[in-house]
Order: sequence, then C-alpha cells, then structure tokens
Amino acid sequence: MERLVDVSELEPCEPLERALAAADSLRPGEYLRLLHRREPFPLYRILADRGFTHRTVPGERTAFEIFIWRRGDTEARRAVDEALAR
Amino acid sequence: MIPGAGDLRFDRMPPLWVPLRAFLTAPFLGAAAGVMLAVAGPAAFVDRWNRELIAAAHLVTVGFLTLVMVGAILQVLPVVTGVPIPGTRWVGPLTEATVATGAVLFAIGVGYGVPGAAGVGAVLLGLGIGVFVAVALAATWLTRRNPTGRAMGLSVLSLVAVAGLGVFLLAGHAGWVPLRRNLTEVHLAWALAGWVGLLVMGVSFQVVPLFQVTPNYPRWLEHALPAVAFTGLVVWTAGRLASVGGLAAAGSLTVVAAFVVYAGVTLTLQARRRRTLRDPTTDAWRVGMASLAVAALLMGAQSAGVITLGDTRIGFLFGVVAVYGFAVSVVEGMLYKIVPFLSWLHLQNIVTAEGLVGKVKIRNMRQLLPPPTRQFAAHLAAYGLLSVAAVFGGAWVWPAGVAVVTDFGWLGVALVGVVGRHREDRERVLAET
Repeated sequence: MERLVDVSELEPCEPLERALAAADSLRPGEYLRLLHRREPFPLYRILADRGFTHRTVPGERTAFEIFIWRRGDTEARRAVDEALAR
Repeated sequence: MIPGAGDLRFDRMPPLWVPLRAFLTAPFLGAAAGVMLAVAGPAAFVDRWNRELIAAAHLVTVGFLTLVMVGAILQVLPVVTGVPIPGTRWVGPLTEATVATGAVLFAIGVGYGVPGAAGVGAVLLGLGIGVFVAVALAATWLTRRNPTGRAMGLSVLSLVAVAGLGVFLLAGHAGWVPLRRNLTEVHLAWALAGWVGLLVMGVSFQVVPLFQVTPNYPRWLEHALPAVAFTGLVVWTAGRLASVGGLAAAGSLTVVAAFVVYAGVTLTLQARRRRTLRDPTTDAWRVGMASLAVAALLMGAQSAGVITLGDTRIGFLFGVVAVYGFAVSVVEGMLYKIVPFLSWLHLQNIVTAEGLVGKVKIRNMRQLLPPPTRQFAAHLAAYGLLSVAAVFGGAWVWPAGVAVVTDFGWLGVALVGVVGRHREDRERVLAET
C-alpha cells in the first residue's frame, strides 16, 4: 500500500524531516512515495542506516520520486515494483 | 553520474569549520568599515579618493564580501560539482587568515596613512588570494561543464585581474611605480561585475531554487549569461585601455544587458516561488536584485553618455547601490540560510554516523536561526542612510557609519549564536554515544 508525501514545496531542512517521519511510520507492506524537486542525497545515507531501501525515478509531477520501504519487507517491495511498472 | 543543477553532493562537503570561520569573521570586518566611516565623518564622502572611504570600502569588499565568497566557493563547489577542492583543509585556513588580516592591515595602512601596514596587508592579500586562485582555478577547470562551476571559474579569473590591478594601484600610491588612476575603473569593474557579480550568479543557480523554493533558472541563462558578461568585461577593458570608445561602449552595454537580464529573471523566479511565506532571505535577494538592476542601468546611462558617474554625488550613490544594495544584501541573505543549514546538516551527519537517528532530537534550521527580520531591517536602514549620505554627504555620514556597524555587528552576533546552539546540540548528541 502506498503512502504519498509531497515535499516539493518545502524549504530545507523540512523535506528530510518529513520524509524520515513518514518512513518511520510505515507499517508492514507499506511503502512511501516521496515527491521531491531535488535528489535528496543526505536522505539516502540516513535511510540506509535506519534499515530502509529506496529507489529514485524521474517524476511526473515533480522532478524526482523516491520510493522508500523497509529492508526485507517483500510485500512492500512487490508493491513498489508494481507501482513502477504502471 | 554528472551532477546537474538539481543534484547536490553533500557527501563531498568540506569540514564545517572551513566555511564557517570565513562566514563568522567577515561580518565583524564589515562592522569595522562602519566604525571607520563614523570616525571619519563628513570628510569620508567629500571625494572618492578620501583615504578613509577607500579603506572602509575595502573592508566591506575584501574583508566582508571576499572572505564570505572564498568560504562559499570552498563549500559550494565540491557539493555542486562533486569535485573536491585540493588541499581544502590547509587552503581554507591559510586564505581566510591572510585575507582577513590583510584586509585589516590594508585598511589601517590606507585609511590612516601607515605605509608599512598597507604594504604588509597587500603582501598577505596577494599570498592568500594567490594560493586560493591556484586551487580554485584547478577545481573549476575540472567542473567547467557545470554552469555553477563555470561561473565560479570566470569569477575567480576576474579575481586575478582585481588583485593584480589592486596591487599595481597600491604600488602606485606607494610611489614604487607611476600611479595610473585610470586603472581604478578597470579594477572596480572587474571587482563588482566580475568577481562579485559572476560569483553571485553562479551560486544563485543553486541557492535561489534550493532555499527560496523557486523554479530552476532557465538552462540557456545558466549556460550563456556568465560567459556573455565575462566577454563583455574583456571587450570593455580592451576598448578602454586602447582608447577605442565604440569598443568600450559595446562591452559595457553587453555587461549591463547581462546583469539586467539576470536580475529580471531572478525577480521573476522569486515572484513564482511556490512558498508564499515571507522570509528575510527572499527579501534580501529582492533588494539585491533590484539594486543590481539600478546599478547596471546607471552604468548603462554612463556608457550612453547620459550621465557621468566619476567623482559626483550620483557616482557615490552608484557605489552604495552596487556594493551595499546588491552585493552585501545578497550575501547577507545567503548567510541567513547557509550557516544554519550547514550547522544542521553536520549535526544530522553526526547523529547518523553515531546510529542515534530517532533517539536524540536536534534543532532544525529555524531553531538554529529564527528568521532575522529585525537584523534585516537594520540592514535596510544602513542601506538607506548610506544612500542619503552618498547624495547629501555632511552629517549624514555619522548615522550611516553607526547603522553599518549595527547591521554587520548584529549579523555577526546572530551567526555566532547559531554556532553556539550547534555546539550545544553536538555535545548533547555525543554525550549519548
């Protein structure tokens, strides 16, 4: 199941804080779709350290879309693959 | 991957103290300029060759602007382009210490007629800027495909011209070589339009969309405008030195057009910003861009033969608008964001590295530096009083000097406060490990 968070109109450091808060609240099977106007490099390292995996793709509404899910959550991973295939 | 306009490489950041030392020292050198003006009083704004005025102007342009810009290049270039600057750990401290000390000695030497201090100051400035230019040019050459890297490279090349001409003029004042005062205009043009203008342009391609939440600059502008302005400066200089009026006018009008377009596009982007919340950074950049347009148009009017800047009241006003209204405004606006941002980002990195994410709370940017609305009002007051002093001179110089001290002093104290709060959080985080 998808959780959508749009941080494209926020100024630093709010996008990172909101992304982390949203990622922390993910339940099993859920993934986060983060809409961003820049590629958030600092976020990637923090996500990896906290046990999350991510994939970044060019977005339609914003420049970047970052899909984030808990490492080892195969159901969430499958949902991300399906979303990306659409 | 080759980082583009939207991809910042924060993993390539230099140590926090490299840019911060420059950012925290610079405002106090700007405040010293205000002290010099206030002490000098009305005499400072009688003619442009007044010693205290020259000294105070260099405390602002070298002590404040150049010091911040050196710190900004050391910080921004690796992050934007992914190419680290060689030897940042020693180039940063060396450049910052020599430029800061050199600016103070130069100001004392020129302002109060102490040739030895001016000479040592010039040597220190030459040493610091020389080392910085060498490494910055090497780094910007590697990043010439990136618009910001390219604009920074052209800006650093301009600094070579500024410093070279500055040393030559100083040697002329000392009587070592014939004094060629007609080169002062060339020195000024390369300082304001080249070193400061091109660097602001390059940095703005990153910081305006990032911190002010505006759309990105058009790609054509990012790629073409810095080169157009630089070429215009070269043509103007060639025309002026060869006394070919048409060539000089063509070059000058090219520079004017480039900066008017740049200021207009920036103001348009700001008008289209997605976040409507007002903040001092956006306001400072608005004031800066409007001042840049006014300064460029005054320069254009001179090129067209409509007005004469030189040693006139409108010439003083041009200097205030270009230096204080444009350059100081945008640099102060940038510092409001970049100092708390870097402090926050380094804290975030420590929290991550220590595995304490979610276990310990750190201040965010707004908690590190609440929007400095009142300090920005002090900046506007200083700009206004300096403009009045430029036009009317006389007793207006005293309050203008005091207002400049207030503006820079308040900025410095606010930025030192950010570092104090950063330190508190850092100690709290490290105590958890």
